[in-house]
Amino acid sequence: MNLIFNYFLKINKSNHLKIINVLLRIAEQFILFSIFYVCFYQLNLIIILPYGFILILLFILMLLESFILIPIFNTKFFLKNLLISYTFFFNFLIFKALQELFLSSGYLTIITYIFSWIELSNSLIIDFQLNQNLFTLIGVFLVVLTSICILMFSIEYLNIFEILKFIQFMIFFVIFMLINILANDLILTFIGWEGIGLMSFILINFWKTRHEANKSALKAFLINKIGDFAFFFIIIYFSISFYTTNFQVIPMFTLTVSNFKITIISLIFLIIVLSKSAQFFLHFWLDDAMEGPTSVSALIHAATLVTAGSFLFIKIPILFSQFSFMNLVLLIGIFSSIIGILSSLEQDDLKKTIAYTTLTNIGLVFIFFGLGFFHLGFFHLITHGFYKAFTFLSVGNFIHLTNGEQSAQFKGLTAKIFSLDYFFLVLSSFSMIGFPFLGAFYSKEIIFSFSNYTTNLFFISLISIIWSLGIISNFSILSLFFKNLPPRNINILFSLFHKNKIFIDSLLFLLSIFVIFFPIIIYNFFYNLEPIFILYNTSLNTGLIQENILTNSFLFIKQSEIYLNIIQLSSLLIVPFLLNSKITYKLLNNSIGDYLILGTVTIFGKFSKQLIKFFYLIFFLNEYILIEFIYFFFIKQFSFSKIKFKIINLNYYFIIFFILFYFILLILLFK
Amino acid sequence: MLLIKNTSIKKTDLLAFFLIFFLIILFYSLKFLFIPNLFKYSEFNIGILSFSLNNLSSIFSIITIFIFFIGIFSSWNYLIKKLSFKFIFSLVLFLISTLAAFNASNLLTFYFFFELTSLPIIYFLFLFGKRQRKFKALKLYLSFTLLGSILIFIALLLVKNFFVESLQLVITCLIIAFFIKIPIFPFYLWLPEAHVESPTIGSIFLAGIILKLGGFGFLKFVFPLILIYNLNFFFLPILITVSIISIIFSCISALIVHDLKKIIAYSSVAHMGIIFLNMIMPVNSFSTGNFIGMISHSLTASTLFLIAGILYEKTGTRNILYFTGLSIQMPILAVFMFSAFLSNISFPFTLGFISELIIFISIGSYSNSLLIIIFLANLLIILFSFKFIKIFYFGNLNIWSNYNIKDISRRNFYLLLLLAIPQFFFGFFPYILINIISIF
Repeated sequence: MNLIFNYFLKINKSNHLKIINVLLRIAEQFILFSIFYVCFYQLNLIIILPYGFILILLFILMLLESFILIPIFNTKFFLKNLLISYTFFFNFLIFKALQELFLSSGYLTIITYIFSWIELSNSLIIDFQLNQNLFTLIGVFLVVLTSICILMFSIEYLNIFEILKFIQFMIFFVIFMLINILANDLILTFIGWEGIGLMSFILINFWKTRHEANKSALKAFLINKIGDFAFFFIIIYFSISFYTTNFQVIPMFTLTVSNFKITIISLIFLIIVLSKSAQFFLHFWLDDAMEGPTSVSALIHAATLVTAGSFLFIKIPILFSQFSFMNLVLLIGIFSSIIGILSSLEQDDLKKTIAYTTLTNIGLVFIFFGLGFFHLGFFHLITHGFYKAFTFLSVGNFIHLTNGEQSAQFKGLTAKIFSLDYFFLVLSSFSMIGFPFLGAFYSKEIIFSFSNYTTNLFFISLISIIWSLGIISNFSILSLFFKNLPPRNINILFSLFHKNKIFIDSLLFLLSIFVIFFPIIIYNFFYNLEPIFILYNTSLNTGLIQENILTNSFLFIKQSEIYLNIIQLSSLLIVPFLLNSKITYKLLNNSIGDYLILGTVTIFGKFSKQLIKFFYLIFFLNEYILIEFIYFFFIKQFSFSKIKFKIINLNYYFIIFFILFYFILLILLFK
Repeated sequence: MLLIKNTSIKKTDLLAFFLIFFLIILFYSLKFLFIPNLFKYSEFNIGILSFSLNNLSSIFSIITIFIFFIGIFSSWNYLIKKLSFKFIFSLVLFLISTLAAFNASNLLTFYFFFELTSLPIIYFLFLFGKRQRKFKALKLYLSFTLLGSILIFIALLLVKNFFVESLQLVITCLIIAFFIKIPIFPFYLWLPEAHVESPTIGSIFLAGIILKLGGFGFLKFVFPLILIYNLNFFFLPILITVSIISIIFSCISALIVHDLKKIIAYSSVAHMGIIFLNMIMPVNSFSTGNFIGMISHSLTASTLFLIAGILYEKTGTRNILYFTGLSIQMPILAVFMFSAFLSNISFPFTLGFISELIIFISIGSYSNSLLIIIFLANLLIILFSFKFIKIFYFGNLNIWSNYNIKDISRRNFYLLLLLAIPQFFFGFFPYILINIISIF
């Protein structure tokens, strides 16, 4: 073994290693893909496989590979290849799982038994079981795709010395998060719960010599510990009184318990959820948690860790059987959303403003839960995950381009120089607002179309305030890119020649596609759902019931009535434009117009070369995913008997495309 | 043995001698664990002393051998450099006496070997010179151990002339004697002093083996007496209050103190207090929590003491305020310390989590109010361990720190790896350990 190591160290790093690298990757892909191909098509496995378990195993394999091979191939090139080669299999698995769930159409749950963990005689039995559900598999989809995009982003974002450690921590985090989502047991969720808490502690503390980072990491971990303690207490309570902590069995037992005990249990669950998803009165750690690298705050504090709490609520819906508790959840949602917006208006730090908007969006999810619409709340949670990751990465891109300048005061001119990046930022903020046919529109619109039929005016006025304030805060950030001073550091011009800027841009493009198209597709899952465990909150006279939503919201509405809703929404969008009318001509009067000219010249000089590479990369990343999107549309159109035939036909094309494009890209990138 | 002189001995001979010794005892103890036999019990007598080999004793003897192995190799350099008959004799005496105490079937034999362990401990205390502070530690240690020995002696005399009325007195005498070694409030005062003054080998033996002697004695001799004569109504409230006080006192004192070894000592007091609470619970179905807890504690405490010893060798201080940014200077040591920290706060996938889960369930099934108090005490453990890890692990390098410090040597690396592997392996697959223990 030592001989091999020495050999790798001695030879010329630039050429030989790259060739070995590429060969390794190709071999790995060939093996993995052949295994999948045999499993899915040659053996005709129609029964639903434990996809979640396979995903976790794949992540562990990736981790091991990174541990073994990274010391040898100490290059960013290797890391990129590693991640890209795995994404195909992740996407393949997830889409396969979603297809099968989609065909089964409804609340199908598949429970896979792995092994028995603890067995004490007649007192406690804990098994490792994974629960595959519509909710959990879509959650897995969110986590895996966003995390892969963010990992790719962070390869460019961090140094070569930092990235090696960073990727391993991130993969650990993703494994714990997957365990947390897929678990069928309270103890197994607790393992994932504690794991993501610890990984967030380490990742916030990533630049460990900074005193502020240490302080904020400790703060975040200790506030999360409150929830962890409550969780541990609940586990022990259930295991004493019911002898199991299984999610399938708990609702059966809770029917026997008195009402008073159920209120106490539900309040403890509320504390657990509030601490992790950073809601009102336990939200203080969220803005301090922005001390970590941008990719950390994108992954942990926007897309994945914050959603863990609401996954717990979905798994135990029996708690939502009392109106008083539901009203409390609703109140907390409203409070936290208003607080988030008000505090984001005063911030200068770009990352912190976006951190506060997660408060508002998770608050909206809680409002949905409080009203009794679990599936709609979950729908907003997923859309939020995608567009929040997108915003964070587009902001992080700007911070990276301006050499780590985080305050919005010194972001002037950058919008003109980096026009494509600014376009992504605008797109992300529009999708966050809920601009028609973008990101949050599909999920947010449902709650704002209540004004057609509600009787509770106070409630609807509160929600409209949240909406309008959110728009103002977003646009005030966007306008700062024109108004203010240029970055203090003149090195901005050097970063223009950054080699792999295109890589990040292509990633952002990929995420923007998710933001635009994914809500429509995911909506099809929720279209046919009938309310099984849902109890509507009728105590507030909001008039919210399934029938009203079906008739009034955009997604269910008839063609003629669409325009009414859009006009209502777009009337709110005028407000920020009125505030910032002097944006454009202020720029021209500045004395720093020279920078602008320099910037434009350099862009056009490089544009023709970069454009070709850019589109290749985009095609390479999206090719597989786009084909899978097409699958869905085909499946919807054809009848059930023809589906199998269609899938097999498409698959041959796919394999040929896949291999061809991979080779072309490898040749293009590394000549 | 007597023929060995300082000059004639070699490194390899000593190693071979110890390894053969380990292998013989390991063979005997593993035989009891893995042979599927219902009558796993054998007795033999040597004069007055009588021994019995069973499942419980074999588990403890495996722990002692493991910790003894690590203790020797932690001070291997010193052992080779200044080889003396005294040192080897005290090592052998310590091993024989502890193994005999764990395999004793009588109270008298247990008493004999229980007292014999204090001789090598005193030798280890004065291994590196004599100073005034060490004599103070010796005074504390001797006074407490002599008190314990007198109390056990009184108990033995009372048992000889047995009356039912004197049963409660016998049990109180034994309880106080074992309180000193577990240790429980107010008899833990000798422990931090002894840990601070003794070298790493001494403190590893103290935390890993000697503290378990107290727990073993309580489980073997006192707990059955309480159960058989149904004296729970008399003893249980006192024992619970005292153990809770000891947990909370030790946690608070660990928050205040800046000495590294003192913090570890107080944390071990707190953990043993939690294990002791599970021991006295009248429900016997969760007794596996005791053994798992003791195994995990002996592993974590010995890792932490080993790390403290390494740091003291390199820097010459034990004050934690001098160590900042340790992960920059010694990344390998920092990883091991973080793993020990995880098991100290009972993070999932470590042995500490499994023991704490079982213990908390057993306490909760006894009474809910006690469970809440224990949760608060557990919060204190997390607080001081976080303070400890924050100062050590993170932050920038101190001005006073020595910049030329290298990372740990290869020997220490393998020792720490040996200690860390069982923690995480049995944390992932606890049913292996539970199946072995639950046969007993």
